[in-house]
Amino acid sequence: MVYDTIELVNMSAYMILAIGVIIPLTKIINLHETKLPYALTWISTIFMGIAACTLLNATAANTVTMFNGLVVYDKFSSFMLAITVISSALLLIAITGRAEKWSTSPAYYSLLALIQFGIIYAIGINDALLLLALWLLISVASYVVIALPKDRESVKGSVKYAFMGSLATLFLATWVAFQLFTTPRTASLAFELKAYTLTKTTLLAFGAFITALGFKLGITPFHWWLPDVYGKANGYGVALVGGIVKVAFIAIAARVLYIISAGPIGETVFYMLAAFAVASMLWGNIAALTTRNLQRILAYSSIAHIGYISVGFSVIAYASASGMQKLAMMALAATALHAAAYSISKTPLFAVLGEGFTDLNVLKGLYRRDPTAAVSIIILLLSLLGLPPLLGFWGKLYLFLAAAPVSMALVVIALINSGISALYYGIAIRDIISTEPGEAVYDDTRRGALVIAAALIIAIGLIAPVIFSLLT
Amino acid sequence: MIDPLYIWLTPYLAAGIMAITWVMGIRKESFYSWLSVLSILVSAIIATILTPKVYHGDIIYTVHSWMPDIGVNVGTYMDGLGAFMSLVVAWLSFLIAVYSTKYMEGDWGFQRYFFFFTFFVGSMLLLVLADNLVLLFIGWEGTGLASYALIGHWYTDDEDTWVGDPGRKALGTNMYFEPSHSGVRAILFTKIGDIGMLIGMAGIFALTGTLSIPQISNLASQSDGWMATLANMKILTAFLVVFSLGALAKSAQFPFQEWLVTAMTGPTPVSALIHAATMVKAGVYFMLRFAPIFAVGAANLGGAVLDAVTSYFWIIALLGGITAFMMATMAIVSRELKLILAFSTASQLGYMFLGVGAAGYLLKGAEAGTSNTLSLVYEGIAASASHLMSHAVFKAALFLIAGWAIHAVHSRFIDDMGNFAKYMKISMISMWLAGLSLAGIPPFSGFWSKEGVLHTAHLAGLENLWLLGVITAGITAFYITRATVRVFHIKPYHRHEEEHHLHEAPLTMLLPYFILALTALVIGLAWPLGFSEKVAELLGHTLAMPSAELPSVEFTGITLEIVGYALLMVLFAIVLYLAFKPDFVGLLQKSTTARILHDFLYDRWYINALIYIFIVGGFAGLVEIMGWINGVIDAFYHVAIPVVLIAGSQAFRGLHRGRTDLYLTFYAYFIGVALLVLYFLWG
Repeated sequence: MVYDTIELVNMSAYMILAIGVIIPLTKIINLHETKLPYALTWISTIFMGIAACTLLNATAANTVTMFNGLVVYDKFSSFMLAITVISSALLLIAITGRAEKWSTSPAYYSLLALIQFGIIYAIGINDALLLLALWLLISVASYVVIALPKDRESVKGSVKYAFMGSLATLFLATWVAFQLFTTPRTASLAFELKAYTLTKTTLLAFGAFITALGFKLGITPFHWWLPDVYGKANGYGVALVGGIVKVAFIAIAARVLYIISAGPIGETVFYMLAAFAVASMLWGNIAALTTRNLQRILAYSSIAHIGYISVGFSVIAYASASGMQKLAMMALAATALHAAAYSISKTPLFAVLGEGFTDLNVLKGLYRRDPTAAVSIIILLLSLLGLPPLLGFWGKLYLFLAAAPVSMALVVIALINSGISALYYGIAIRDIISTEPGEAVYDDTRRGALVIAAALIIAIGLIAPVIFSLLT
Repeated sequence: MIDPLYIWLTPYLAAGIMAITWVMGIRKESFYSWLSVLSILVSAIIATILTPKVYHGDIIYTVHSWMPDIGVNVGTYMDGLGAFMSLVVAWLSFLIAVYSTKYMEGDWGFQRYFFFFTFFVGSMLLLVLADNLVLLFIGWEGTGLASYALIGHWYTDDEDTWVGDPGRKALGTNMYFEPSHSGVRAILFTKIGDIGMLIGMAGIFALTGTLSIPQISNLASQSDGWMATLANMKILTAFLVVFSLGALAKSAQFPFQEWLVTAMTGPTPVSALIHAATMVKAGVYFMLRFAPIFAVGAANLGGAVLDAVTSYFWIIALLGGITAFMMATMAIVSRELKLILAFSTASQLGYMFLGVGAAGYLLKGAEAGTSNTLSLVYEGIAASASHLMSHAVFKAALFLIAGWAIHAVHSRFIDDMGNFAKYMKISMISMWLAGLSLAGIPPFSGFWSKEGVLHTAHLAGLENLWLLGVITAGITAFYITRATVRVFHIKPYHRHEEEHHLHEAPLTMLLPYFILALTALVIGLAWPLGFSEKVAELLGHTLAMPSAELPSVEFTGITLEIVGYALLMVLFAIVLYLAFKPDFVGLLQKSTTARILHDFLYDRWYINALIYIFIVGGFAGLVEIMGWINGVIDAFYHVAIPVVLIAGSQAFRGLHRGRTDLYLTFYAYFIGVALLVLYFLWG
């Protein structure tokens, strides 16, 4: 039996949705504390992998259009989907045997599957109304996931996240409303994404979209919830929200910005995004300098990283507005590579740090106690710093190369910021390899997640230029 | 046919084996010494086997691919000059290696000594056989590295290994030097020159796109070639001088001469090999290699190129003449046997530079393309080359004798030596044979070759420099006779010879210097009997030098006067020390004028002190200033930036207090600002 691409992707998505619905039922038959929910989530991840592989294969030649154009996949979106699959697998390895012990079990696994379902379609989004629907699905699931461990910080974080996330959703809804009035409409797709003309109304529409996106991604000055959620809540939830869901939103942002900036409005968008990028990089990197809690360092560094990625967004908008197709492709590919580096590093790091052992004092001497875990963490941190030949280096390199023809000032600021980040990554690495005594220890699964992630960071790093050329 | 590559590769391979066996823990002395001797012997034999082919007109040129894009390959270029140099280097190295096996016996750095010795020979042979500037430079730096390591061989700096009188100062600067200090001095002085050489290489490559010496030679004569281009830019003279700085420094020519003097802290065979017979000749080799190329280019292009090139050769001749004279005067008053020979070496190298410079200067006023003048230029260059050879032979002999003399009395000062003739007849004979050769007395080899150089200077019309050379010849005759007489024929000033159990050197040490001293005589005797023609024939198959003759020396007029003058100086020294036994120490105490003159010469014209005061002191001042600037930079990085970043970080984090109401206010504020900016500014 030969399936075509669309059938395979849809079948995978439906299977994932089914698993997401079935998992809560294990509670009824009292199997929720067994390995069954966990195993089912692996199956949903495998289906997600099938969808990603199918799309990677199909989009190598052409774009894949589904649901009459509501969802369109290209190379960029297929690659982003593949990243979320890899990060999901890393998360599952790190979380082995954890979430089923929570009183909320098996909600974590069910929500993970639902989020995966949402991501599959959201990543190829081509319609504002559908985006709102998937946004809600993923967001609500995310708020709940953060609260699931039910410890004080997680619940507090979840409430803030939900509270401010709803604001973001309101802005998105505003944008969707604007969309109806600002774009030429076809009979079949009332909310189809189209290039904007430059009017005050469209600018406000843009403002609404970018504000919503800023909330979701934690772009300064819309990042206020992020340090409390990423920095304090249980790491298993943060890994899912900050490592996987974020990649989906990055993909959505890049796609939407590329489409709607294709007009005179693009230059304005470029300046706005560049300003936000600079603010994010500075805020994240400088705030991270004085904390000695690695999870909080990673939270602030997430703001800085979305700043780097916003450099990519700004170039996408600029190139799209100027009709510089090649530059736009470069910026998209660079964004994808950086998102991959970010996700593959941050997902396991948040996952293994999130349940205690987050203070740098506790991590001291880790190299002596557990050299494998220590070296893996160091590789992941160095990749985030952007050290060659690790994947993080290529992400930054291509982002800066793409930005260079548009604004050297932006590149210089980004480089300086990358330099600042060396301070806090350096401090963390120094403590990990110091000889002073600490307490942090990791079990096999968590160490395994770190080792695999580090190996991937090196391996993908070695072929990153090839991936880059394939994506462009 | 054997690849001439093996001439330089064999010692390198031996040095590599020594490094490996050292790591493996093998310390047997004889293994290292005989591996070294054998590898050098193999080189010498290969060079000897290949030379007849070159002599008959075939340039042996083998190339192994390395960096073809920039014309840099492992190319061994054995033309007349290459063959000549490899013969001199390989055979002298062999004899000195044999001497070293005994001299260094029981030394705590024996294995290290032979490793660097062998590495040096490989580098020196590479230098003289390289077909391109990169390889030449590798060999060049290899010799410099080995020289540094061997000068500082006794790096524990015991006082008996120093150079200079302990405690002596000139203009407030120390005039005594430990081995480790001397090693660094050698590196620094020669590196200054090497920078110039690198600049020259870069310049030539930028203009020609190649570093291959034969190609550089071919391109020199083109009307749009590198020489013409530089002449049009009016920088050809300056460029050639900068390019030759490495040669000037390597051959210890003024103002770079100081390093060679203090290089005498190394073991004496090292002084003989590196600081007399071979490495210091690398600079002369460089001149011999490039002078014909420059000269042919100048002769063919004429005009501005010719003017620039002759100016360059005049500078070279001037520096050579000054060095020859200056260093000879220092040798008159020196109390250290090796130091006398070191001054003498720099002085004799000065003759060689004078010869090359004068040869090139012959072109001045010549018509472009005149082959007659060029043949005179070749003659002058060949004269310098022949002086290189004769000096290598007699100076190596003198150093090896000095090594035994110093060893015999455990002192480097000639005040402690004396009456050696009673105990070591063969050494005495050797000293006289080599010494008279240095003094330029016929029929020794030094006479013929020095005459050739002076003849060239005379022919070139450089009368002042010629006169300086003649005066220097007399001074040379005096100082070497003084040293010989004081060491071998009169009582020691400070000790009694009975204090030491003086005896003749062991055979392994005696034979090398006796053979060398005898060679100085034999070459001299054979010179007018056709030997000079054979040397010229070999040198006449050199790149850019298709023919060569050696100046014919006739015992008439001026030559006779010079010989008479030198002989007179020899006799004067003999009579002065043997018959009059002057009390120079008393004289110095009584006469202020004598003391001022003595101190001026003894403290090496105060050049070392002036270098330390102005150049080293200047750099120390610069270091002071840089230290201050560094302090400001450090304060910026270690104080200002952290304070700002920490304050910023705490301020940013201070806003994240976990209060939802505050966050919502921030949101409202920033959203409002963003929308207003959008609406009013860009809308």
